[in-house]
Amino acid sequence: MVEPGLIRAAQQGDRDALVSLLRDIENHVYRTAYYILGNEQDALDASQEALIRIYTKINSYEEKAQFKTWIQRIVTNICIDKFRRTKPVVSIEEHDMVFREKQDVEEEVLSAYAAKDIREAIDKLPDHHRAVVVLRYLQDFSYNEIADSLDLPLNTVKSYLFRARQQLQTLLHDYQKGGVRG
Amino acid sequence: MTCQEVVDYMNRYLDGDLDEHERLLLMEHLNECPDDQELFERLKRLSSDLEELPKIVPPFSLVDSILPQLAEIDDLRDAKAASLEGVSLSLNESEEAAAEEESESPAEARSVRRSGASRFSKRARIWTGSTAAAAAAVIILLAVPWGSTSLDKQLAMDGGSETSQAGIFNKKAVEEESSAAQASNMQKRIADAPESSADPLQQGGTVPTATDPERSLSGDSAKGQNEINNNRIGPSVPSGGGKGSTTYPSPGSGGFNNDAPGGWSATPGFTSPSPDGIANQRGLMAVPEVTYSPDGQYSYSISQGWVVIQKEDGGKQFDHTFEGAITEPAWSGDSRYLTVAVQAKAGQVLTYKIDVEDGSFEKTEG
Repeated sequence: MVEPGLIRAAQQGDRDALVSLLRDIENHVYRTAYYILGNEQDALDASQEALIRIYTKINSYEEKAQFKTWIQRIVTNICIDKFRRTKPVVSIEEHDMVFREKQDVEEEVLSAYAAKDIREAIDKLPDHHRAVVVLRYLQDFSYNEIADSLDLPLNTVKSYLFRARQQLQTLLHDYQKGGVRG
Repeated sequence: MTCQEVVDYMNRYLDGDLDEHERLLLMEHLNECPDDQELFERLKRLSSDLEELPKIVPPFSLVDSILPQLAEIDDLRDAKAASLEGVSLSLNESEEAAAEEESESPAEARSVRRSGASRFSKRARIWTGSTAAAAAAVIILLAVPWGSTSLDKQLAMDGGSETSQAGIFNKKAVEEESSAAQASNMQKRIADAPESSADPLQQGGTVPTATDPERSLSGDSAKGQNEINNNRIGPSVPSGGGKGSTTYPSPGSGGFNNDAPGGWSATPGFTSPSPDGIANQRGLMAVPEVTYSPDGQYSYSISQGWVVIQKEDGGKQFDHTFEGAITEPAWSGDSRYLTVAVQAKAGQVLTYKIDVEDGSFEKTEG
């Protein structure tokens, strides 16, 4: 996604290269922030902060890591540490209950999972589960790339991803069944 | 296969992580187990739904919106580099060079240098000759640790520490600043976010002043007026309250800071091109600062009792002289109103609300 030559030029102090590098990655940075934080305003703030951090820390990037995992590490850290902290997170056990209550109120009939429902369900996952899902599906990352980005062991990544799928599936399945029933 | 193994296989199938043998095992199991088959179908559908989530892009160029902050970071880096250069230069200075410079040094520094270049006993004479007690105190502080080191070393340290006295201070500030580079504007904003709806007035007032010391410290302000102009825009856009407390311009108004027509908006605010704080302050007094409304459509400038509001396209929306010093200008969150406080005679403070669209204003309190 970013040419190695551009990264090297940026690290050697070529400001134009650095800015153009930021332009190459801004969509990826924003997309992760958006799906982790669940709203545009926080996503804008977090991705701007991430881009500025990348700008100032470009020299701390070492080529032994993948650039794309390096930047995703920066943006996920900012999202989880700074922005998400203030929000209440529903624990995994509560999912079913919370979602059923919601259906009863809304009584929506859905034939398929709408993107909005999926986003809401993602938003209910614990931070790292959500981050794993976002990197897997919005950044097309492999298990290893996710592990590098989030600084988690490979097995933890798998277990988070599998559990997150299970939770999402339960949330959305119940949601749909409830809607049909209602 | 245990239940957990099946679920793992299903998941790894979705991630393309199964080899041919494992895939066949999974399929065999699913053929025999309708429940798991149903679960597998649901997981597959979930996975394809997740793959189809919209590839959201930001509503405007994030990089464009942070260019002012990036320029500010560059300025600070330049200033840091300059002060570091100053240090290394001084370290290479010979004794003669140090002596030549002596005539230009301030009295205090001169005493320090002479003491560094002389013997210990000689230094004592200078102390007694010194008239200013404060200066003597400084010399003692500086001289004591040198007493045990060699003369050459003393001289090097002497020259280094003194010619860049301001430089080192500068460097420190720069280091702090750049280590908290993001902190400067963004974190401040983030920290403010939860309460930002509480007092937009205060934010509008504090943000620009908070950045001023950094500005004057950057020293190298003669460089790149444009960049500096850019800098002003980020911090000086008032929060407007609520979540919209952004430093980025609204879409499509990216360049408004540079080429806004009219004499007011073209003036480079605080950043008069002289490295000393005094001239900077003069600039601050004489040149009005331009501050944009939250939506970027309007800007106001205040100078000597005048409040001028301009539209982004250059049209003048409002101008009026108020009787008294104007303080605490603040945009409303919707950019419709600008409120200003006017310090009238006898300590009275009057607050005026200016309707930006029709150019009228009314007294709201005081």
